[in-house]
Order: sequence, then structure tokens, then C-alpha cells
Amino acid sequence: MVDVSRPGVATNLGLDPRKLVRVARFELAEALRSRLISVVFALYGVGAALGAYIFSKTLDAAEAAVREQMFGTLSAHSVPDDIVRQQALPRVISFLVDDAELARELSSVDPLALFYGFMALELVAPLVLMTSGGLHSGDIATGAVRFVLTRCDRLTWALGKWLGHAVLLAVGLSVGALATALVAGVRSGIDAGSVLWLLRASFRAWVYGLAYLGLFSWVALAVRSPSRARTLSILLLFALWIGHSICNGGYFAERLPALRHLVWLFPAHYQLALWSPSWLASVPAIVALLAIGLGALALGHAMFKRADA
Amino acid sequence: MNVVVLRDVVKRYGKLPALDGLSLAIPRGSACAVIGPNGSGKTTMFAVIAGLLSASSGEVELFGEGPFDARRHSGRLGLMPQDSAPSPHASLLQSLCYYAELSGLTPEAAQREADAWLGRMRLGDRARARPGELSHGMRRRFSVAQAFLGSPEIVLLDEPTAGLDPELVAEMRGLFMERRGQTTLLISSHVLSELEDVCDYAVFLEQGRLVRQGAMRQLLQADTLVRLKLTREPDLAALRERVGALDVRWAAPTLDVRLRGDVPIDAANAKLLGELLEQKVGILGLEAGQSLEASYLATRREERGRGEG
Repeated sequence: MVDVSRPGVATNLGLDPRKLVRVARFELAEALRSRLISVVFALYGVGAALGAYIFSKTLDAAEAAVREQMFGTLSAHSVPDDIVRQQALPRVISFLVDDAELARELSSVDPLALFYGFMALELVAPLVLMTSGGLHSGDIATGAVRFVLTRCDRLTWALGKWLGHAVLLAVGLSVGALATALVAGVRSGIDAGSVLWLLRASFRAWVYGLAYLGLFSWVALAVRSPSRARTLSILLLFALWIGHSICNGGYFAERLPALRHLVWLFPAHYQLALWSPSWLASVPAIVALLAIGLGALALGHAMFKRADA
Repeated sequence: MNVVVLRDVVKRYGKLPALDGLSLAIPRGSACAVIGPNGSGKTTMFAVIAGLLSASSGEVELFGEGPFDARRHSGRLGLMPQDSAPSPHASLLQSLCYYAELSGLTPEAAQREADAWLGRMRLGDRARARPGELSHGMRRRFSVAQAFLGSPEIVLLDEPTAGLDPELVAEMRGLFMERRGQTTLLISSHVLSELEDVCDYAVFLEQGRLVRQGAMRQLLQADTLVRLKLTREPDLAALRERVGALDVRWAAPTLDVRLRGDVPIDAANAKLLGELLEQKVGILGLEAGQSLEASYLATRREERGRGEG
């Protein structure tokens, strides 16, 4: 019955790249077939469009206020838009970024890309939780993993699923970026520079999301029940938020300065660096976030490697 | 050559041993019946052989190359797990293609193989259905199909015919008999008459231990036991004397005659039938050997007696 056999080639890690890609492709397709994920992405897209619309209206209002303040109501209409926006935008950005210098730097960025960057960074962790929480444990609980693990090793399977959902996250973030671009296009037109900024914002949110995808995969590889894995992932999300707040400063960090050294363990620590328009400032954060994501996945794999499947 | 060897394998769930020093050897190409009551360790044994569960102690050897390793043995072992469901959103065809490619087939070969097995399992018209749309029997047939994908050398089938209608059971039996000799089959089932027809080797498990193993013919004592269905009880003393039997037992309407190993079966039959005709006892049926069920129950009785003693 079998006419062509093509045995896989294992790397030093024991990974078979061909099987890795096959697992990732299957997982991506499987996720895209899910109604839940379609609904989540649709809601995310609608949310992005609605948010972009409200943001642009807010920006218009801020610009109008600046016009009035600067030149009075009679001559305001003759002031060039660029000048007004330069004055108005920092007011809006100061709500998004709690850093005066960075806020000034961000004034050069397209406002809607800024909005989307903010929205994507804030929502990417819950988005990952909804689309990929309990990712591995679902297969372990239903026994689907038993059909696969006699054909590919556990590392290829665990990493393949992670990769598939990493691409899925990129798809989700692109939906949001596209919705934002559509709103911008309809309201005032969109240029290539703005599209580029939207892509950059999506990419950075994606990298930020990969850290959470790794962390949630760690939980999903350690816990057999998908509902328990999702619950633990929510708790982990809160723990990371609280942990970061504690280590980042305030009462505890002042009394125990060693806590400040732990901030690099939390994805939120790198959020500010991801806002920077300069790649040079963002690259260390991107590397750190990838290390957190893959490190957590490796931890999960180490636990699952010897566990009963 | 033995293709599956277990030496003193122990598998504990907490403190409870599911396999308790299990040792056995399965010859290459045999169709081996794995028989035992619920909780005797059949499913655990399959999972340990397939590398899904790690043994607490002991050795497992496949193909004379150590325990199952998906990187080395991918595509050489097929498993039909008892209660596992494939990925919920992919169609049967998509799942089978995925498994076949992971087993080492090219996409084209995988597609052909998947189509062929869906047809063979009478699931051709359900190729695009999702697992949730299938009946229990269909899911079972899908599970059998995926186990045989890529013609693995060993196929482990855990209760393959449970819940199937008699026609499908007969078809499955045909499939297993066709594969016998080319593939080493390990089949667990509570329907012992079915195993008796298909298998040429058997292992009896009891509380995670091997209580008996050997060729089916030997276990059924096909050369030394003759069973007749009669119209009435014959003169047992006369029969015993004439045939030179070791033991003659009557349990209406069945007469079991256990012969000495050195008595040729044709000579013994001639004497036995001659005596019964002389006694004018009607013969309704005749078969050689005891049923697998009788052999299994006798072994269990012996085991229990040993335990009580």
C-alpha cells in the first residue's frame, strides 16, 4: 500500500524539521477551523475598528481644543493640521505611555498605529489565553495525542503546536491591524508610512504575545485537564501582573531591593521598550521576550517529557 | 525472533501497580491475543510498549533496539488506543493524511493511503466528516484505520471490535487475518471466541502479571482434547476403558475427552466414535480442543486457587 517512504531527518535536538512544520501546519489549520477562534478574532477585529474610530474622534476633539487654545476660534481654521496635531498628540499619548521622553518620541508615529500598538499590547495576553489556553492539555485529555506520539517525538509535537499557534496569533493581530487600517482609510485616507507603522505595532505585539504563549504552553503541558489549564493560565496572568507591580517599585521593592532584579522575568517589564520607535531600543526586549516564551515552553516540555500521555 | 519483549516491567499509578513485574515475549509476525479481566493491565501494557507511559521499572524492547523511541521507530508501530478521539475540527481525511505524513509518507502517498483505509473501513462517504459527527462504531473504525496507516511492523489494538455490529466484527476479523504474518498484531478483547479465530499466540494477564503465554494451539490443547455434543449421557466407564483417555467429563450435552499426549488423534477418534455408535448415542457435534474461554477460565481458576493456597 505504501509506495513512497520519506523518513524524517533528525537534528541534534532530536527535532525533525519536516515533522515540526507538519505539526505546526495542522495545528494552525485546526485552530482556524474552530468556531470559537473565528468568533474571538471577529470580536477582536470589531473591537480594533471601534477603538480606532473612538480614538480618531478623541484626537479630533483634542485637535479642536488645541486650535482654540492656540489661536482662538476665529482664526483656528487657518492653522495647518500638522502643527495642531504636533500639539494635540502628546496630550493623547500621555494617556497611553507613562514616560514623557518616549511620549515625545512617539509624536512622530502615525496616531492610529499608536492606538493599535497600545491596544494590541494591552490585549494580546488575554487574546492568547482565549485562543491558545490549554493548548496541549486539550489533546492530552481527549487522547488525540496518542495518535501522534507514536509517529513523532514529544518535543516536535509540543514545539509544533506552539509554532502553529504563534502563526495563529499573527493572523489574529493582522485582523486587528487591518480593521484599524480600514477605519483610517475611510476617515482620512492611509499612506504607506502608516501601514508600515501598523505592521511594526503588530509585530511587536506578536513578540510580546509569544512570551505569554510560551507561559500558557508551560501550564498546558503540565496539566492534563484543559479547563484546569485555562484556569491556571488566568491565575498566572494575574500573578505576573501582581509580581511585576511588586518588583517594579513601590512598598515591597523599596524594602527589599533584590526584588527589582526579578523584573526581567516578567513580560510586562519589556512593554515600554516595545513602544520605542527605534529598533535598537526594541531588539533587546524582543530577544528577552522570546527567551521567556521559549524558556517557559522548554520547562513545560521537561515536565511533559516523562509524564504519562 | 521476538519483536516485543518485556522484562519484569512494573508500572505504578501512585502506589497502585497496574503492571506488576510483567515479562513476556511476542514472536515477530504473530497475532497475539492479550486476555485478562478488567484492570489486569492490558491497556497499560499497550501504552508502555508504545512509549506513552513510562515504566516505573523493568525493560521494554522493541525490534531488539530498546524501548519505543518515536525518532527511531516512527511509522514502525501503530496503536489503536481504547478511548481516544482525534482532533475535533479536522475531517477524517485530513487527520489520516496528517498521521500518515508524520509516519514518513509523502503528502501524495499519505493521501492515497488515507483514501484506501477510509474505503476499507467503509468510511469513504464520511471522509469530510468531523469526529463529532460520527457514531461510536465509525470512530472505532477510524481508530483502526489510523493504526494501520503506513503498514507498521507492529500494531497494537485495544478492544478494536467493542461496540461494532456483527457484520463489522466479521470484517475486522477478516482484516486481522489478512494482516497476520506480515504484521505483528497484539489484540486485546473480551470476546474470546473472536481472538481464538484470529490469533495464533496468546498471553493471559491477571493483576498486571503474566499468568500464561504460548501458541494458541498449545493453550487450547487442540491435540489432546476432543469435545462432543451428544443426545444423551454415554457409559463413561466404558468409554474411558476403550479410548484410554486421561479424563472423561460429562456436562450435558457436552462430553469432554482428554487424551494422553502419546495417543494419535485419528486412532483415538476412531475408538471414541466407534464406542459411542455402539452405545447408540447420537452425536450432534464434534470439535477438537477447548475454547479459549474455557482455557482462560481454567487458568483463572488455577491462579485463584494458587492465591488462596
